[in-house]
Amino acid sequence: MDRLETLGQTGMETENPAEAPVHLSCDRDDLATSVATVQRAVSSRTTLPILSGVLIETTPAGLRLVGTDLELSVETYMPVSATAQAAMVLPARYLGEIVRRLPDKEVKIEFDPGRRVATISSGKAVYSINSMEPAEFPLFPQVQGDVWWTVPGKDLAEFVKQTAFAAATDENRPFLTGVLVSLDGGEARLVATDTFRLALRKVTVDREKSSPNESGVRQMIVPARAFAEVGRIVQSESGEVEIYASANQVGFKCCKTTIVSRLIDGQFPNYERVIPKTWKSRMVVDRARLLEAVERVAVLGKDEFGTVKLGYGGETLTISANAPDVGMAFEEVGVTATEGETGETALRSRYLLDVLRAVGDEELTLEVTGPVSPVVLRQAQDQATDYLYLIMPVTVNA
Amino acid sequence: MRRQGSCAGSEPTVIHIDMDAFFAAVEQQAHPELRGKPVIVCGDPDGRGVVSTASYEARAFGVRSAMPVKEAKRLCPHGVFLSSRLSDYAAVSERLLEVYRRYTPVVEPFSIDEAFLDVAGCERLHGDAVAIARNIKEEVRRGFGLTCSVGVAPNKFLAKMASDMQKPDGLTVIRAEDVPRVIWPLPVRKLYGVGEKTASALASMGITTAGALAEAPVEVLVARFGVMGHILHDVANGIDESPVDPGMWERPKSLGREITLAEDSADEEVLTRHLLSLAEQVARRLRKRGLVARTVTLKLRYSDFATLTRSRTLDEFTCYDEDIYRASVELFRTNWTRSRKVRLIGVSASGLAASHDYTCQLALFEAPATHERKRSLVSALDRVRDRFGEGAITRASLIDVAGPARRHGPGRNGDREKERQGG
Repeated sequence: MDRLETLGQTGMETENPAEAPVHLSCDRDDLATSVATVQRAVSSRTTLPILSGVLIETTPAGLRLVGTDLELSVETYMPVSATAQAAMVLPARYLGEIVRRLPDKEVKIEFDPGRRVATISSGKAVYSINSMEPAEFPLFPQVQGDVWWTVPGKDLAEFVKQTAFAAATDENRPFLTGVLVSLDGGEARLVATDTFRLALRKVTVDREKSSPNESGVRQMIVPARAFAEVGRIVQSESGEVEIYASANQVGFKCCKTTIVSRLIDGQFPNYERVIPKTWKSRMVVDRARLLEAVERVAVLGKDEFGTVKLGYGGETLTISANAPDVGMAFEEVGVTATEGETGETALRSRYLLDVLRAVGDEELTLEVTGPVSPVVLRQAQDQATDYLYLIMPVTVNA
Repeated sequence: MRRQGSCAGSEPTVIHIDMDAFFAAVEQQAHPELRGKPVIVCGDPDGRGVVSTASYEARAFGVRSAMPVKEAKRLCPHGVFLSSRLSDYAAVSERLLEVYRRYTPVVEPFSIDEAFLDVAGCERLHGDAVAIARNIKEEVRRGFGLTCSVGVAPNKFLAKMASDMQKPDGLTVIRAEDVPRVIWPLPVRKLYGVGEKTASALASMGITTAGALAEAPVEVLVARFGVMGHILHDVANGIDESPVDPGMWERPKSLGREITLAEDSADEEVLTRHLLSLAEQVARRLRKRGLVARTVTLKLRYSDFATLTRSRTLDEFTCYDEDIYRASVELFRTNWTRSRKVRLIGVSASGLAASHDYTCQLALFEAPATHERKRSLVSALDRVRDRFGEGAITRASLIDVAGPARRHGPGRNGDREKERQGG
């Protein structure tokens, strides 16, 4: 009887009189996509066994799936037809593998609440999977806050891809492991830095689609790992994503899916201070050709330090690497619109490769600003201030 | 055939090769327009560093190694000041060693621009040591456009003295019987290994020349200098038993120091002060060996001999006291069971790489001078220690740490020294 009351809260019309099996039927591809979406929040290393599962329950709005690692929670809905209410928690790892491989478009799930076993069948394939206790599954976090910004899913995915990779991975300074999202009147900014490089994306925001608070500026630091998952989830969304936040949580809502992440506490460094205002040498490079050249040269920069040298100021940008005891590599990439001094600077190849892989632009402007100040990459097109990436050089330890 | 030692009286088979104004000469070779010009290689031509190497053209103006760049610019305003490219010099150095190794397998790289060779047993292949020295000089000139000063002698000490006697481009042979004529008239300060402090101590004993040192009773020297007394007496007599050791500079897998406390302690302050001292010693040894490390390991042994080791990998390679100290203290604070008495404490560095290959990643939000300041402070301290010994300068907080430890061998200072040789 207890069980019935619990399930009754979901408000399904058809109640399950005894603990009779519930029959669910849904589309394989819907199920595979939904499981893949919520699985992004499920950690493979968790100390709480229930968190290794995906909550699946019937609701009036359809089949609800939830995955969480307590820091990031993802909820999504999909169409289902059900004979009664049911709730189960199935191991995410196996569930993902299983639904991807099912032979038929139609998937049937028979859930036996008494034995807590879900029988998944499709075509002639049958899996009986033990469920964990749904009552133990954490409640989905409710974010008490208003909508900050509404942005197309595809765009948000791109902004995240261009910035999140630059955040720190080492937990020494937690506020650097996130992406700063700030909203200031008609402009949104996403910023990430690990102090060795910095990525900044500026976005012009339709005032009607954003709501700055009284002081005009709103800021939050979103964990970079969670943000990257958000980007992956929303990239296939054709609609808009609503971003809403409270003091310590942020939510992303698109039509079927809601993602909630905790926010990082702390003061993000004053990044504007470190953006160079002048340059000593400037040129326009073809992104794809530079990427390929750096990848080739970096084969010999793969020692502990992974350094490549850039020789700039001429008609070509030269890229070289020197591996002690192995040899050296050298390549030239044609550049245009060269201005300023000639010289040489050394960078960790990874920092350069990261950005060349993250941005989609065909051409980038590369600026050298000094021996101990950053190399700057910008979009070369008209919206030249929309994306900025700084890499600090390395110095030879003489 | 490899000879473990040579001493005065045996054949001159040890060769010491010292490249002339090496960094500057490599630059002049790479940039022909610089040949014949005063070239000064330094850490940072615009900074407050010191001269690494001055070409002979620059030396004519009084520019010397280790002189502040500012002073060098005053003495030689039209000089060409270049910032050093150590990895390039290291690459040339490595190729030079390959040349030497064609003559004998017993090659000991002594620094980036110096090497010892023992050619005993190679005579039938390549001729005697003098012929080999001549051939090497010629090969280095033809293949690299570089000159070197070479000493040939029965042992490393005399070979080193010999190479110093004719510079640049010299070839000097010192035989055992030449010692009284060549070495004894020299002031003691000229003997390799005798610093200012030792020289003035000798002077106070009335010993100013190598000859006087050679004739001084060894017991008197030992009474005054300890083990060093024997060595001083030997070298003044042209005796040096140390072998040319090709493994000498091979990169170890880790460098560490540990110490057994005079009395088991659970006092956090005492223990962290020991960590500082250990970190300092480990960092110093890294720098001496020209290495940087990325992993720091802490070792604790409690009174009941239960031992734990914990490691931490840093974001960046380092050879600095404070980085190694910070990592070891962090390891200590998270792993030490408070109030449990510690008997032994150790710090080691691993994940080693040669510092000349290492490039230091600069950071945003950090004054660029911070790193440079750290480097120049440390190199100043190292110079003081090189000259006056390890105890000459230390942190105020370490003043009584040096004393109370119960030290045990076999290390030079009594601390147990752990070095695993790699490769």
